[in-house]
This record gives sequence, structure tokens and C-alpha cells, in this order.
Amino acid sequence: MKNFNQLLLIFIIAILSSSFAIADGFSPTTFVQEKEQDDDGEKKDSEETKKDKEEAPKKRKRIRRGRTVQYSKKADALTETFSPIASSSSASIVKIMNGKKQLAFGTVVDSDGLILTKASELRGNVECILTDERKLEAKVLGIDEATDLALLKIEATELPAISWSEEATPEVGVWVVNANQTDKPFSVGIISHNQRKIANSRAMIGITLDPTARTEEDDDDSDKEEKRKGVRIRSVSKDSPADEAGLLINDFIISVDDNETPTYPELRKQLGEYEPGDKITLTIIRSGEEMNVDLTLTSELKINPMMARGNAQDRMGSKLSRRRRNFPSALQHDSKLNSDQCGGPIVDLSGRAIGINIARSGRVSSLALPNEVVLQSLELLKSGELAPMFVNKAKIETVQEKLDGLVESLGDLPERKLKADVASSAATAQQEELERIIRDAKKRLEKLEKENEPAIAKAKKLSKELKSKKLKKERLESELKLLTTGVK
Amino acid sequence: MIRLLASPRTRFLATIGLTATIFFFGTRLIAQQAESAEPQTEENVNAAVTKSPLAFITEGGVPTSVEQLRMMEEAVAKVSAEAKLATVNIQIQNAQGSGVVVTSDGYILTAAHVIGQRANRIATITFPDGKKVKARTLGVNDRFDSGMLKIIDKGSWPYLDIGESDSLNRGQWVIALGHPGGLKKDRGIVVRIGRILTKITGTLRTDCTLVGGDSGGPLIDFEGNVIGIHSRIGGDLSENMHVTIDVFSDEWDELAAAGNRPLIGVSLTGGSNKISRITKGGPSEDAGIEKGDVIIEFNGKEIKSRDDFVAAMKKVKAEDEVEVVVERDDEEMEFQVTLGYFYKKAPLPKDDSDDDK
Repeated sequence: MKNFNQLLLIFIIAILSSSFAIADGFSPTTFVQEKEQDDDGEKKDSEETKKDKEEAPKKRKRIRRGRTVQYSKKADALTETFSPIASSSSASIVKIMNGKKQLAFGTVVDSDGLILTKASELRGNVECILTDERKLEAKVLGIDEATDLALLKIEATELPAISWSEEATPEVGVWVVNANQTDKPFSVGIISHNQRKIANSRAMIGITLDPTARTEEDDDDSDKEEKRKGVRIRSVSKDSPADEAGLLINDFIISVDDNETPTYPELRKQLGEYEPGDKITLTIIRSGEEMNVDLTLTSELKINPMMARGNAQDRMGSKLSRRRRNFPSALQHDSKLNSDQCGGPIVDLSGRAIGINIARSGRVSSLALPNEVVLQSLELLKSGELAPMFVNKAKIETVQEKLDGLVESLGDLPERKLKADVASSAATAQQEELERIIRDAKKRLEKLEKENEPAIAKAKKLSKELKSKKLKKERLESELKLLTTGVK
Repeated sequence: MIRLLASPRTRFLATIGLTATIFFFGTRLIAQQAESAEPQTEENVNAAVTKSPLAFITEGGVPTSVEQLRMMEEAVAKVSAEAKLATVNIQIQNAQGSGVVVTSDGYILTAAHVIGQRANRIATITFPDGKKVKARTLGVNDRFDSGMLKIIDKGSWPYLDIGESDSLNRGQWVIALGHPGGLKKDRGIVVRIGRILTKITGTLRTDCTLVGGDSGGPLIDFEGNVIGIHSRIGGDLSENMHVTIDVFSDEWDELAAAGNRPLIGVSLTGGSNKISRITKGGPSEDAGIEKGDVIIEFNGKEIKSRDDFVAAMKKVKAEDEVEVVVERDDEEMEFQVTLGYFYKKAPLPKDDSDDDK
């Protein structure tokens, strides 16, 4: 019995002390949460967890201090798990450099020094830094405008070429490992959206249209003879191509590049055929007169302020690629990627490449070309058809065309200058004439002043005389007054 | 990797506790304690704490093997595929946001700023398959940025269950869905993964990246329960805020009833029950109540002050018929008042012609 009492007492002590321990954070869930804090040698975070609710404002101030890294996708422990996966391809990654500036990553696709990278990030002389720290000059073998891939050649052999996954195209949820030259990936994420075409941004000219079907003859003040249908311009955005080309509110658009657009839907459809940068000729009717207007389409972003705001949010947190639209097919993933980190492979959990990063396109989206697109483009690039020689040839032709255009427009200039000269000399003559008239008028004024001088002097003299005579008169009158009073 | 004892203090207290227990409880208990005392080594912690291989997801840990990564992949694919069906785009005039259906009869949760201030506006809801339906805005709570809508069309809608946010752990893995940048023809719902970085009253912060257009979309756990609603972002990619789901659960009735907030159309003088003003064309004027009347009874309940009246009004809703007794020139008069809508009901548009430029 005594033994039992003793046991009971001990039991109570034990319960008390262990519950005390639990209250202090010794519960399974809590120590999982706390596991990494020991690394910092700090206990603050665990206290924060408990005081979250009471200390909300204080908490907010700490948001930027990086105390949350251990709970994030950037946690060292997670990078550790991904490390063996990422390291299998790290030797196939090169850094594409221009001097000391990293332009992009590159992916070794052939052991004899063929490298794929993002074309639109290339600038000036390009060098590649290999994992063994060799820095080699690179030659551009070709550029595929459609995929924005460039094929580079460096003088090296026995490089480890990337190994491509042969699985079906990955779908939403699949881990995306952004391999780096070290065994630590620079970021990880998941496929956010199944493979799709990334459209170019909508081409626009900066007008809003009146969607109701109307002809110009509906307007009372317009020319009744004009029977052709068209779409009325309701507003013109400032500094847009439409504004620059001189389109006005109430102009009626009747055709685009000679394709008639009598109604709103037809016009929209017609304009939808073009891409930003295309040149078009609009035929419009303004107060009964038909005229042609040339303009260059621009992208939606430059005109729509709503889009511009969205664009600002998209830039928060990472640097976007210059070219981030218009890809034949791409995988969207949510891993952090900077514009100078494109061109490298993304690998799945097998450690094999499932694509090549081609653009940072927004705060929530990175784009990668899937293997099939990369490999097709690679074949094309290897064929030599897209070699800079050919590419440049096309460019030279366009430049030549522009030059011809300039010369042509110059042909008109001397004539216009002559006209301007004539106009200007006429103006000068007119000015001279006016100046002469002013001079004459001044002279006449001076002459008149001179002529009037004696008359003025005479008048002065007369008024003086008048004054003295008046005084005299007053004096005489007062004398007279005195005399009369004396008489009385 | 997982360390048992986080701080010297906890270690000390726990040790006392354990020692005491072991010391006094004989062999059977010693054996039991050995299980929990031993986790000084890593494997045993895993064995003791991790019930399933995916327990780290909710507990705030990280996957430690490729096997676990694969399981996460499968879970994300499965859960997000289902969650997508209930994730919608919300358009109210020119403003767009996301939302999530949480009941089969079409209650939708979103952010307050997607709705704006007023209940009873008309919203166009677009499901991921392109189907468009009409909804009416209900209540909002600007303090937490929570808002609610209800689909008007009859039907049974795909929905997600509501979880609870109180038990969420820092580091817990979560999934975000929505329409970043608004509804796009050639793109569906975008899925993102991340972890809970901080949890304060009403707000979760995660590294699931968000951008304009995502607002109102669901943050879900790995079981597909809604645990948050996307709200706002900061400059860094790790600054993505979500309204906790508990904010919605706690205020569900108020949010849902906001559309039926009644209007009676009188103003009272100060804290008294005397009418200082009658709204022109309002329910009270229609019923014959006049300025200067003193309300003494409302639906059989005695009214002595403004507070009494406000309390009584909280018990009725728009379109209710209420009995109001007033005192006018020392005479008691009874009126039947048909209550109106505090938020005027926007009429349903007849056709759906979206004409943008």
C-alpha cells in the first residue's frame, strides 16, 4: 500500500513535468517546424510562430529579412534533395558571356562543341565558360527566328552532351529542375500549364471603332454622293501609329491593303491577320474624300494602359526577357528564372532534359521549349539554312530596300526645298515691304512734328499773354471795388 | 537531419520529464519511453513523426528522396486537375479576377477588391471549359479582402471543399490556381506550387507566385481543400499574400446575407428613436410613415433607442413585411412596411454581347 502511494505520487510528478515539456514546444509537429532553426543558433522564429497572432504588425516588418527562407522553396534542405538530379546535367551547361556580362546559359548538344542558347539575348562577341572554367570564343552557326534558338560552335571536343528525356511531354505538376553549372539547381518549380502555343501580342494601331454598322451617308453633314460602307473611328490614342499617321475621329475605314472592310466584324478579322511590326495601308473616307494612310502596327502593350499596368506587376521580382512571346510551342513553369538564365536545360526527376528555358515571361511564368521543338529546330540549325550568312542576306536586302526608299523619298525633297525657298523669299519680300512702310510712317510723323512746332510756340505765347491780361484785369477790378467802397 | 530538441531550454525540460518518467515507472514504461526518447537519431524521428511518406507536406518539412518528389508530382497533378474545375474567372464590368466555387449550388469565394464595394452587382463567371454563367455579388470584408458571390443560373457546379487555416504549419506545401493576367483565349488555369512562409491573423504568405488576375483564386492544400484566397503581392517573388479561409468560414453568414440587407428608408435623430428624415421613394415613405414620427415598436418588439432599432433591423431582410408602430401627435399608428434592398439589385442583362475593341 505504501508502495502504491509512492507510485501514485511519482506518477503525478511525471505527468506534470512531461506536460510542462509539451507546453514548451515538445510536440511532434512543433519540432518538425523548428528543425532548421538550430542551424541559425536562434530560437526567435519558433517564438514568432506562437506569437503570430498577437504580434502581427511587428511581424510585417520582418518580411524582407529572409528569415523565412527555411520555409520556402529556396530552403537548403530542398536544394539538397534536388542536388543529385541537377548534377547529372550540370556538365552540359555553359555560361554565355559578352566580356564580363552573362547573357544566358547554353546547353551542349554535341560533344564536338555545338551549343544551343537563346538567340535574342546574344550581343557582340560571344564567349562560353565551361564547367571546367575554360573560356572559349563562340561562333554563331545559325539563328532560328521561330524558336529564338541560336546554335553556337566552340572549339572543344569530348564535351558531355545533354541527354534528352524520351518520355511524353511533361504535364502539370511535374517537377522542373533548373540545372546550373554546380550541382545545386538555381531554382525549382513545377509545370504550371500543359504545352501550348505562345501567341504574339495582338497587333494594334491605336484606335477604337464604332461597332454599329453605319455608312457615312447616315451622317447628315456628309456628302450624299458617297455610298461606300465603312467603319467609323470612335477614338484615336495619343502617340499611337494611328495618331502619327494622322487618322482622325469620324474617319471611315473602308479597306485594309485593298481588302474591303464594310463592317466592323470584317475589319476586326482583317486587322487580326497582322502581327506587330507589319506595315499596312488603310483606305479611309474623310468628309467624302477617299485617301490612303500608311502605318506600322504596334503591340498591344504599347497602347493599352491596362496591359501596361499588368506588365508592371509582371516585372516585380525578376527581369523579363526581351522576347517572351510568339513561340510555336512552350511549357510554362513556375520556377524563378531571370532573362540572363535562359538557354539552359530544364530537367525532370530522371535528371534528363525535358526542354530548354526560352523566356522569363512574367512574375508567375517561365517558358521552356519542349524537346520536340528544340530537336526540330536543332536539325534546321545544323542544316545551315539558318546560318547568319543567309539570315544577314535577308537583312541586307531589307536595309537596301530601306535605302532605296530613302533615296526615292529624297528625289522628292529638292523640289519641295525649291518650293519652300520660293515661299520663303516671298515671305522675305513681304517683310521688307512692311518694314519700308513703317519707315515711311515714322518719317511722316517726324515731319508733322516739325511743322507743328511754330504753331505750338505761338499758342504758348498767346496763353501767356492771356494769363497776364487776366491778372491785369483782376487787379483793375479790385481797384475799382476799393474805389467804389471809398465813395460810399 | 531532423533534430529532436530545438533549444537548450526545451531539451532541459524534456529531459527532466523523460528522466522522471523513466526513473519512476519501471521497465514497461522505460520501454515505451525508449521510443520517444531515442529520436535523438534521425531515422527514428521520421519513424515516429512521419505517419505517411507524404506527412512532411502538411508538417512543413521538405521531401528528402526522389521517391517523395515523385509522390508530390502525382499529388499535384491529381489535386490540381480537380481543383481547376472549380476555379473560375470573374468579370465585373471591366474588372477581372479569379474565384473558386465552394458549394454545389454555386457560392463563390473571391477577394473583396475583385467585387468592389457593392452587393447585388452582376458578374460574369467563366468556367475553365469556357462555360459562362451569371452571378450576383454578395458581401465583402475589406479588412481582410474577403468577398463572396453566388451563381444565379440554376445548376449543380463543380466545387472544392473548404479547409481550415488555423492548423496550417509554416513550411507546409500548398498549390495556387488562377488566371494570372486575366482570362486568355489560348491559356487555361495556371498552377503554382509553394510553401507557407508566414501566417498571421487573416493572411497567409507563400512563395506561390501571384500576379494581377490571380486575385480571388484558391490556395489549396494537398487534399484539394481551399485554405486561402489570393489577395495581394509585394515586390519580392516570396511576397504573395492570401486571405485565410477561416476569415470566410467565420463570416460566412454575414457575407452570404449581404445581398439581402434590408432598406427601410428612415434616419433617426442621434441615438433616439425619432425619425429625422425619410428617404424619398423609400419603403417607409411608401407605407405612410412621416418625418417626426417616433418608432416605438418594430415587428412586435419595443423600440426605445436607435440601438434597439438597429438590432431589430438586423433580424429582417429585404422584401420582408414588417409591422412598425409609431407615435405621432400622441397617437399610436401602425404601418405595414415592405423592406427594400440596401444594395439595389442590378438587372440581369438580356444578352451577352461582349464588345471590346
